[in-house]
Amino acid sequence: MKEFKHFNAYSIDEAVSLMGNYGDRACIIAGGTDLLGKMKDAILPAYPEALVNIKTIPGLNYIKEDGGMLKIGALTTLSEIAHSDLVRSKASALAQAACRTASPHLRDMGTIAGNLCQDIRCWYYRNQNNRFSCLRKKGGRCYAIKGDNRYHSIFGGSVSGGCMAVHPSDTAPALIALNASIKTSARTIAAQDFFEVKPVKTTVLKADEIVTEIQIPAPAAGTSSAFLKFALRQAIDFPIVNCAAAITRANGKVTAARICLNAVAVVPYRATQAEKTIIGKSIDEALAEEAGKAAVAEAKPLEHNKYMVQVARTIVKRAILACAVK
Amino acid sequence: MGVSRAKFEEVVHDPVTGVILNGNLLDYKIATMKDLGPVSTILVETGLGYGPYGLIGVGEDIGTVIPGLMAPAVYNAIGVWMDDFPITPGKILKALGKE
Amino acid sequence: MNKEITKLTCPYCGETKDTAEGLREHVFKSHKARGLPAPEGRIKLIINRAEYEFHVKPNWTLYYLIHDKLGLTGAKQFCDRGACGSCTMIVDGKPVLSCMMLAIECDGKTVETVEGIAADGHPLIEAYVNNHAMQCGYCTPGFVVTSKALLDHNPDPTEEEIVEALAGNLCRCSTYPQHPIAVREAAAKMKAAKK
Repeated sequence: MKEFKHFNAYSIDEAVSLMGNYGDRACIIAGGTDLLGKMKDAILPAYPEALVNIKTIPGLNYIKEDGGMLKIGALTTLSEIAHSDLVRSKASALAQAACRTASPHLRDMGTIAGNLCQDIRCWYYRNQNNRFSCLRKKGGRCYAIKGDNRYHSIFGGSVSGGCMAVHPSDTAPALIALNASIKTSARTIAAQDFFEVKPVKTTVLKADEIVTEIQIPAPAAGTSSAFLKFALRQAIDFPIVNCAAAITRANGKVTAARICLNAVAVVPYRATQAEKTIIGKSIDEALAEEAGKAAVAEAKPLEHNKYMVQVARTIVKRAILACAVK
Repeated sequence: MGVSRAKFEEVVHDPVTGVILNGNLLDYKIATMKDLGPVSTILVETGLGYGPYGLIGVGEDIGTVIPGLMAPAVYNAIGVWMDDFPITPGKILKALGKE
Repeated sequence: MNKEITKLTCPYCGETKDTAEGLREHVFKSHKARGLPAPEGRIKLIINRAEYEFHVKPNWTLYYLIHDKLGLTGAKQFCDRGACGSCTMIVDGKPVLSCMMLAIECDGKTVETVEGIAADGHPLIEAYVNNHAMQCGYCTPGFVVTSKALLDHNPDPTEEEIVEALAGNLCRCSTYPQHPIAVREAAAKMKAAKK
């Protein structure tokens, strides 16, 4: 790695002030498992001048229930979330998602906020020494469209330009399905509006904005949630397709549903068509199958990733059935 | 190693520029402990060894033998011969015409 | 004496001040800092129960410090991107990847490496040898350290728990079936030794 300055921040204000001074020239480091990989490969045209360590900020590592709302501190590690009884009982989809992320070592290091703010894993974007100057690096074009796009978006590119790289987070769909909001140092954002496609950025966060807390509202009575992930390997791998569903039922009928797929589009993809299909009906195999079809009705796969449509269809079906079992 | 080669491992080149795309252990997938089924080793002493003391190495041979055994297993399961490794979900769906 | 050199530079924004008092006030006011940053790169570590003090650069990883600078070559570099587990060390009781941690952020932490585990005469080492849970041996330190961390908080793990804990360690030679057997054997030995 090249040289850089390193600051330990001891309060959120201090970290915000540091980031305000450096702007885009500095990066925030918490778990570091995504950022250090990026820096070692020197994938970006600009190298960060400084890192601001926020692990030293006290009181950002907690899981608590406050007024019916589940609150998770930004520095809570994924393994703490996966093993927390509170998260398992109140937001089982999030616990399952945290449990299936990466490998045991990385879950002990990586934080929930880092998992949300991580960068894309497109192998053109991540190629060493900035080999492909793609749209996400303010370059000319998306190399995946004509290249090997087996792990890229099946729901088209971003509006501004056509980047096909998918968002790789496992916890993001779970949080969107659970209708969570993300509190930053400046505002509170709904999880659904948190993601954005911009050069060298995957979120709407400003340069001097830091995620401080994840808030999950108390689920309505009769709600169950589930998370499923499809990846080639059982551990370490990023998802090829993952899906989180939160379904509320009363008298056997679905009254509300939130289904979110990830790793299929440039931002987490809310399957609103599938939600509409199941509302007001009682869940069975045939209805789940129909919802799966509805979820991928708008898919526009590329040359090498047509199989992802079939996988997404099946995973939506299984997620709905998994919610119905509980 | 054999399972890993049959199911995951592949060096991917960019079809346009020829640059290796998965030159790291995140994208070049080696099987983890969870991906492996139960294994039992049976040693058959055939006396075919050409080496000293009549020995012959078998450790690395599985790298080619297991994929060769996986393809017939997939044929038995889906009725289509796979002629390309690794056998990924994408290739199976393509072979079944379900893309 | 050159006056320029005696000026103090703010580490946050690069502004210069004449006196230490002025700099302190500036840092408090403009950057809301708790105090002036500690002298750059001075960290204290407890490695295998011995205390060390290092002067590190910000871009040194914990792996680089312990393997290349300190010379404890047990942990191995395999992927260097956090995907293989060969460089695992136990930091504050948790098995973590030392190639993905900056040494400068480990101030005050307790580190345990495979050398420390071997020096303690942990039954895992013998169990690994007895069960031949290695072929080339490059990944083995990572497996041993991860297994040690598992046995620390779960003295009697089931086979599923062992597989779950070791899922992040890659082995090219595919010695995977032997590891649960070795860990179970070590667990049994530790249990017998306690009685």
